[in-house]
Formats: sequence, C-alpha cells, structure tokens
Amino acid sequence: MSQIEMHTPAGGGDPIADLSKAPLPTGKTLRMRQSLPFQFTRFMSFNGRIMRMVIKGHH
Amino acid sequence: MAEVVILGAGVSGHTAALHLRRMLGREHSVTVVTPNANWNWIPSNIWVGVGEMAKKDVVFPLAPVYARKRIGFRQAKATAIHPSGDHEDSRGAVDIEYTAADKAGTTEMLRYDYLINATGPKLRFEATEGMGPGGFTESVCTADHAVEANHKLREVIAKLKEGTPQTLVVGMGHGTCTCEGAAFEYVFNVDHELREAGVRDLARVVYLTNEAALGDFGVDGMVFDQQGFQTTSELWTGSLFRERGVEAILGAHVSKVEDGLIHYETLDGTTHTLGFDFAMLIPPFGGVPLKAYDADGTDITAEIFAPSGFMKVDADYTAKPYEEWRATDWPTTYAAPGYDNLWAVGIAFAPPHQISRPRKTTNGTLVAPSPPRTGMPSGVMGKTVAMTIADRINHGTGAKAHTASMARMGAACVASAGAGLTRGSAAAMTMLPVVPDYQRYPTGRDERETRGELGLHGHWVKLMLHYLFIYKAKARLGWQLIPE
Repeated sequence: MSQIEMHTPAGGGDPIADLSKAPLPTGKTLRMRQSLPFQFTRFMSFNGRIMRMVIKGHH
Repeated sequence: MAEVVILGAGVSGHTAALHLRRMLGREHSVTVVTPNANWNWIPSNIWVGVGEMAKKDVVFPLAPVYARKRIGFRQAKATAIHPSGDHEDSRGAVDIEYTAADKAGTTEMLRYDYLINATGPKLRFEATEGMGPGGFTESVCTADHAVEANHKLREVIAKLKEGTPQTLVVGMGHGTCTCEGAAFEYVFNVDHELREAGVRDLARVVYLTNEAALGDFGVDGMVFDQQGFQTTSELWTGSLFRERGVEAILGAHVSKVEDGLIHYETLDGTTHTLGFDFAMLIPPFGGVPLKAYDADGTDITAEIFAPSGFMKVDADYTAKPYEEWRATDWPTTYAAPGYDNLWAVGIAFAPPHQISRPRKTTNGTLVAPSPPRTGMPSGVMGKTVAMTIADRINHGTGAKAHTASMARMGAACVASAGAGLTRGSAAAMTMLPVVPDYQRYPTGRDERETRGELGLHGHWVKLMLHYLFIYKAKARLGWQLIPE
C-alpha cells in the first residue's frame, strides 16, 4: 500500500506527490554522508554485498 | 568446427562473445553482428547528459577489440532469422544488412550452428507523439542523445543565470516505459548541476513517472532493513526528493508532447498539461524488428517473437493475474522453445509479465512499468548462455544448459551525481533477487542484501564500476576475473 499520496492543489495545477511526511535527514546524517572514514566503511560494505550477490545468485 | 553468431554487442552480447572466445578453441568461430561501430557503457551516459563526462569517456570502437580477440565482426543489423535453415541448407541462418558506411545496404546471409539474440531495445519514441530527439524532448539512451541533452541543459542553466525561471521535467515518456532507475539518476544529476551552478532556487524540477508509487523502479518497490526497522524504497525515495525539492507526479502516462508542453493522464483518469523548458523523457522499449522464417519460407515471426518484438524463451507466458505471478515464471536457460541452438538474452528476451503490478487509468489506459533487465542481469545471462554453448561444443550437444534466473540473481542500481572523489553523492541500492519471490521471502527479497543507502561511497562505487566494466569490455589482461 502506498505511503505517499498524490495531492492536487485546490486552485488546480499538477497532481503532485505529497512528500510532507517523508522523513528528512538530520544534520548528523548529512555529515556522515560526506565523512570520508565512514563512507569508506560503507564502500567496503557495499562491495561486499555485491560480491555476495555474485556468489549467491548469479548461477 | 562450430560457428556461433551473436546479434548485438551490448552488455549481454559482448559479454557472451568474450566468454565464448575464451572457452572455445580456435577451430570454432564466434561472430558478432551489431549495427554500431562502438561499444557504449550506457550507465555512464547519465554523466554525459549533464556534462560531467564526454562521449569519448563512455564509448570505444569494437573493431580493434574483436580483431585482437579473433572474434568476427560485422557492422550490420540483422533483419531475419531462419532457425531451421532454408531449401539450400538445414543449418540455421540469419539475414544481415550492413550499416558501416563502406558497405551500407549490402546484404548477406550468415549460417550458424548456435545463435544468440542480444539485440537490445528498439527505442520507441514514436509511441508518444512529439517525444524524442526528433521531437521536443531529450534522451540519454545513447551517448549521442546524452551529448545533445547536455547542450539543452546548458542553455537552460544559462537562462537561469540570467534570472529567468525554468521548469525541468525528467521521467518516463509513456505508461509502459522501463528503466525508471535511469530517470531517477538523471533527475538526481540535474538537481546537482543546478545547485553547482547556483541556480537551483529559480528552477522547478519535476519527476514525471509511470510508477504508481515513488521508489517502485519497475520492480514493485523494495523493503529495506534500516537499523532494525523495515522501511520502503518509497519512503526512502520520498525523503530524497523532499530534501532536494524535486516534485513528483506518479502513475502518469504521457500521451503527447508539444513544444514546451507535455500532455499526460494519471491513474484517476484525469488529464493534465505540464509546461517545460527542458524535458528528458525515456521512451518505451520494443524488440528490434526481426522477422523469422521456416525452412519452406513460411513467416513464423509470431511464433518466435512476442507482440512486443521480444523473443520468446523458456518462460511461462500463460496469462494470469498479478496475484498468481510466481518467480518460477521467469526463464532460466533463455533458450527459444523448440530450438536447442537459439537463445535470447538481455533486453531481447520477452519477459513473462511485468514485475510491478500493472494498472489502468479509469479511462482504460495502461500504466504498467516494464521489467528492467539491463546491467548485471544482462551480463549474467550473456555469460550463462555462453557457458551452455561452450559445453555443447566441447562436450557434446547433450550437455546440460546452465541457468540464471532473474528471480535468483541480484542487481545494483547506483544513482550518482557529481565529479571527483570528494564532491559527489549517490543513492545506491542493491536488491536480491531482482524479481521478488514472495513464496521464499516475506518481503519478496532477501532483506540482508536488499539495501538503499545515500552517501559519497555510492559515487565511488559508480566510478569504480565505470572503469572496471570498460576495462572488462576492452578485454584487457584479467578481464574475465571481473564479475558480471
């Protein structure tokens, strides 16, 4: 079931998805997205996941 | 001596050709037929479309690679298949028409012992009046399209710098499009470029999609495990769009494009128009036009190909409602029914049905994202069929077929923006399997491997994949060690 509904402005216009309930990142989250040491660990984790998928599911 | 012919040199066809050449002795021939002179790493076309890369960074000529690897190369398009041969020879054959300037229009019939159809998509811009490079919208489906898209984007940015507000629309040009991930990545990049240019506040950026829910991506959405809680790709994408100020119009079928005006219908049956100064709309895909003939010349095109133009393989094509779709409906060997030497891989095979739930507007217009089958899955299919053919040539025609189902294999989708190693950002997703299996997993997919993350590391992944896959496609030393 969809959690984001479409909303058409009362005065007409395009039916736009209502994103007002979508969570916004905190300042800490935004900083972590650019933190080189933390992102390096995510990079290794992401590559590990890709390699597991190659081993598990490709053949 | 066996002759293997491969139609198409995209990810699946080129992968199949390189592996076959590696696995077969020199007495056997491998020939690739493709209308294009260049190989194109299509995922990086997105960066060309915003000027972060040049065309030369994402393409390279195929002829030197094939000459070095002793793979036959015909720069030509296939026009017809004769899977049972003709009155002269019972071996299969394919009609080709050269596209290279020096032999353009010349035709030839190639005989084969094994044939792989990896022809990729026909970009059906004509499905929506006014769409495409010949009309009023841009595309990033080819490197040349992406170059043109960047030119138009630069014009819009120049107007924004003059203080003129602009509306930029990115999305899907028809209710049955696929590759929503590409449009998602492009809108992410456009937003980034506008911010870098310091003009984001004057621009309205709209994501116009046939997805009924944000984050559907043509794969019925995903459920992620995030810090011990289940969250959805819908909320994850919604969060990103809210943070970036991108407006989303969902469940839309674009019916017509005029100069600066998009006409579309939404699932509730209402019709709307959306003005734009720049629009990049992905077209729907169809199969590359190919005819098929029996040995006596009877037209068997409808037997070999689905109405969409994609080739039928070992899938379950029985029409059934969404609730009865199963992972086992999806093909595993990619062999054409009734033929033990004919396969279709990558976009060229006909999927048994969509992955996302198909919908109709209240007016009966179909809004049904088509299944994506590019990138990792395409490469895996190409290698799988190559292994089957190599086994049959090396060990006898009774060798068992290798298998790889999209309901078992995973995929990664990385939407990356920016350049350099410290200034980029990315939305990176992995899913396992691509086709959800609700009988095996409560959420359809393995929650340990199905993840969505935002951050600089995704940008590094995308850069790494760019260089790795171009290295692999050039068949440089150790290329076979790089997984598909």
